[in-house]
Amino acid sequence: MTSFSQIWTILKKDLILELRTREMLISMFLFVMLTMVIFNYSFSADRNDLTAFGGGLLWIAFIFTALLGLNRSFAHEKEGGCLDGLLLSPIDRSLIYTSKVLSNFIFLSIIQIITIPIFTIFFIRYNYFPMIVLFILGIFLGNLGIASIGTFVTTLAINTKRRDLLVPILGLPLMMPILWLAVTISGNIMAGPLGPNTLKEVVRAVQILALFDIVYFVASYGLYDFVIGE
Amino acid sequence: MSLKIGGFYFYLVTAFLLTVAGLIGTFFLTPLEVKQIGFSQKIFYFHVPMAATSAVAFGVTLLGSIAYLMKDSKNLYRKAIRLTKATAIATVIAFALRITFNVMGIEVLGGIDVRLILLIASISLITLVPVFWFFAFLTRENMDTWASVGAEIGLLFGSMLLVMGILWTRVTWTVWWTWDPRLTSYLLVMLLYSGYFVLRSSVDSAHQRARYSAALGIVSYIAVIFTMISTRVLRSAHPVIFTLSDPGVESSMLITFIVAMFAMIALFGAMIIVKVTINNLREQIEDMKDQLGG
Amino acid sequence: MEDIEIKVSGLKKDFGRRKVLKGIDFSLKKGGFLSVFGPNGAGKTTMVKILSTLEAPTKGDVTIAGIDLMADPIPIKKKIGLISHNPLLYGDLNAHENLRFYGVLYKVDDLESRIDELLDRVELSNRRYDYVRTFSQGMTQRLAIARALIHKPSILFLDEPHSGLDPHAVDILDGLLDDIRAEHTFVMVTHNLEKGLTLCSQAMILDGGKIVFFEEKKDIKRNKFEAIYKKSVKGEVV
Repeated sequence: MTSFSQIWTILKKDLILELRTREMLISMFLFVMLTMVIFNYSFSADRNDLTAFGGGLLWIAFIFTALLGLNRSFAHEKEGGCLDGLLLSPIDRSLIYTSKVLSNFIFLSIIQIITIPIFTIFFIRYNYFPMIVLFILGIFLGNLGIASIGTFVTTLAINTKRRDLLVPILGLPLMMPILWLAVTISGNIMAGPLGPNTLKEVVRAVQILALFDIVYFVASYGLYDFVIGE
Repeated sequence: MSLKIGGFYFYLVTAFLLTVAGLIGTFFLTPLEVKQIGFSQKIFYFHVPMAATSAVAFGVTLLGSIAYLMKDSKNLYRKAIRLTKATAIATVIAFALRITFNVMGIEVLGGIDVRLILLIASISLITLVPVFWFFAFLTRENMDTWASVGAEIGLLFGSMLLVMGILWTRVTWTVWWTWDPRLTSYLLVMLLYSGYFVLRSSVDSAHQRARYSAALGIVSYIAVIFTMISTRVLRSAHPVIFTLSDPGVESSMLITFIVAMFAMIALFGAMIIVKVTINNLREQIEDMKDQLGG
Repeated sequence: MEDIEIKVSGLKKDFGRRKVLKGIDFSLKKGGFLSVFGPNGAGKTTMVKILSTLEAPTKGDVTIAGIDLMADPIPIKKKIGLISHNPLLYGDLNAHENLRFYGVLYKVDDLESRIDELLDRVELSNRRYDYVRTFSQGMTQRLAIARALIHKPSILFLDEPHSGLDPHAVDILDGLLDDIRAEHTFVMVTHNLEKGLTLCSQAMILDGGKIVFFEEKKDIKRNKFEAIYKKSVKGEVV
C-alpha cells in the first residue's frame, strides 16, 4: 500500500539523518550512563545491589532519556523549515505521526538494548534470564506507549513558546500510567523469582499496558491533524 | 452576543441551601458508621460529591473540546472514517491479544465487570447528550471558553478534594499521604490539568490555543478514565461505601448524600456561569480596545 | 466564464489579538500571474502560507481548482508548489536524497529521470551526492526550486524567491519561470517592483492586512501604482 511506503520513506529519512549526525543516540546513551552513576552515589554507597528497586530505577533513566530524545525528534524538521515541507506534501498527517512514533520507538529501543545489560551488570544480583521473553515484552510495550504519547505531546509543544518546557510537563503525567505498569512488570521480574500471585500481577499489568498503548495510539492518531502545524 | 448567562443567583442560593441541609444531615441525621472507620466516615457525604463534581467539570472540558474540534474541522467526515479505521484495527489487535492470552491459558482482565462499565457508559451517555446538544449552539470561541472554565473549576474542586482527603487519611490511616492507586491517580489528574493551563498560556493565537488545548483535553480525559479503570483492576485500599449490589444502606445516608451531590453540582453551576460571563466580558473589553486603538 | 483557479473570499487571520489579515477577497484565473507587493508585516507571507495549506485561516473560504482548501487539502497539495525563503531541505541529506524523499511523498512517476532532469535544469548534477549542508546559499536555493517543482505543480506560490539569490541563480529561476509560464498559475510575493510588474498579469498591494490595490496589468498606471506603493511602504516606518 502506498501509505506504508510513505511512512517508510519518512522513517528511513529519520534513521539516515540520525545515523549521520548521531546526536540523539549519543546524548541519550550518555544520559542513561550518567543516571546510573548517580544511582550508585545516591542509593548504594557501599554495596552495589539495587535488585529490589531495579525496575523503578531502570524506568526513571529511560523516561528521562526518552524525553531528551523526544525534544530532539523534530530538530531536523525545524531546521530549514522542513516541517513545512512535510506539511506541504500530499500525505495524511497521521502518517507523519505514525512514522515519528516508529522512529522514536526505534531510538529508545536501541538505547535500551545497549544499556539494559550494563544496568543489569551494575546493579542486579538476580539472574532473570529465564523470564527474558516477558521482560522484553514489558519493555517493548512500555516503549510503544512512551513513543505514542510522547510524539503527540512533542508535536503539540513544537509550535508553542515553551516547547522544551512543555514536553516534560505535559508528557510525564500522561506517561505516568505507562511508567507505573512498566515498572510493575520489569521490577517484579528483576527482583527475584516470581510466585504465582506476582506472575498473575505481571501478566495483568502486561495486558493493561497493551490496552494503554492501543488507547494512546488511537487517540493521538485521530487528533494529530489538530496539533501539527499552525 | 449575549454576555450574561442567567441563573447565577438561582444556582448560588440553591447551592447554599442544599449545602446547609447536607451539613445538617451529615452531622445530625445520619447514623454513625461503626463497621469500618467510625466518625471520620462522615467526610464521605461531601467528599464523594466533590469528586463527582470535579469529574463533571472535566467532562465539560471534554465535551467543549470535542465540540470545538467538530466545529473547527470541515472535513470531519474524513476524520471520522480515519478514526473508525484506526479503532477497528485497534480492536482487531486487542482481540488478537486476547485470543493469544487465552491460548496461553492466561486470564484476561478478569477484575473488570463488563456490566458495570456498560451501566456507567449508558448513564454518562444519557446525561451528556443534552449537554452536548447545548454546546452545539455555542460559537467556536465560546466552546473553548467553556472547556477552559470547566478545567479550572475541576482543578478547584480537585484541590479541595485532595485537602479533605489528606486530612481524612491522617485521621484514619495515621499518615498524611499514602500512595494508594486512587490517590495517586487523582494527583495525576491534577498535574495533567495544570499542564493544560501551562499549554494554554504558551500559545498566542486564540484559534491555535483552542485547538491544541482541545486535543490535549480529550487525550487527558481518556488517560484519566483508563487510569481509573486500571487502578480498580489492581487492588486499592480506598474505602468503598456504596456498591451497586449493597441493600444495607440507610435511607438517611442516601438522602444526605444526594442532597450534598446536588449542592455541589449547583455550586459548580454558579461558578461556571460567573466564570464564563467574566471571560465573555473580558473578550468584549479587548474588542473595544482594538476598536479604539484602530 | 473563464476558469477561476484560486478564489479567496473574506479571508481573515488573527494571531492572538493581532489581526494579520482583515478580510481578503480576490480571484485568479487559470494561467494568471499575481504579484503581491507591500511593506513588511502586511500579511503577504501569511496569505501565501494559508493558500499553500500551511496555515488555517481564522475565517473565510479559499477555493483552489474548485476544491475547498479546508475541507479537502490533499488533492490541492498535489497541485501546488511553494518556493519560499526557507529552502525546506534537510542539511544532512544530499541533493539527490532530498529530491527523492519529496518525490516519494508526492508519488511522482518515473522519479529518477525527473530528478535527473531537474538537477540538470538547476545545474547541480555534479553536486548531486553532496550534503546540502555544504552548499552555498545560491545552490541551496536552486535545489529548493527543484524541490518545489518535483511533482510538476500547476500552481506555484513564490514567497520572495529572488531574495538571497546570486545573479546566476536569478537567471536560472527566471529561465525556469519563463519555461513553465504558459500552463501554470502563479502567486508571487516580492519587493522587486521591476520583476514583479514585468512578470505579472495582475498586481496587488497589501497593507495592514487589506488589499489597497488590485488591478489587471493592462489597466495599471505606473504613476498611480508607485504612489500607492510608496505610501504603504512609508506607513511601515510609523
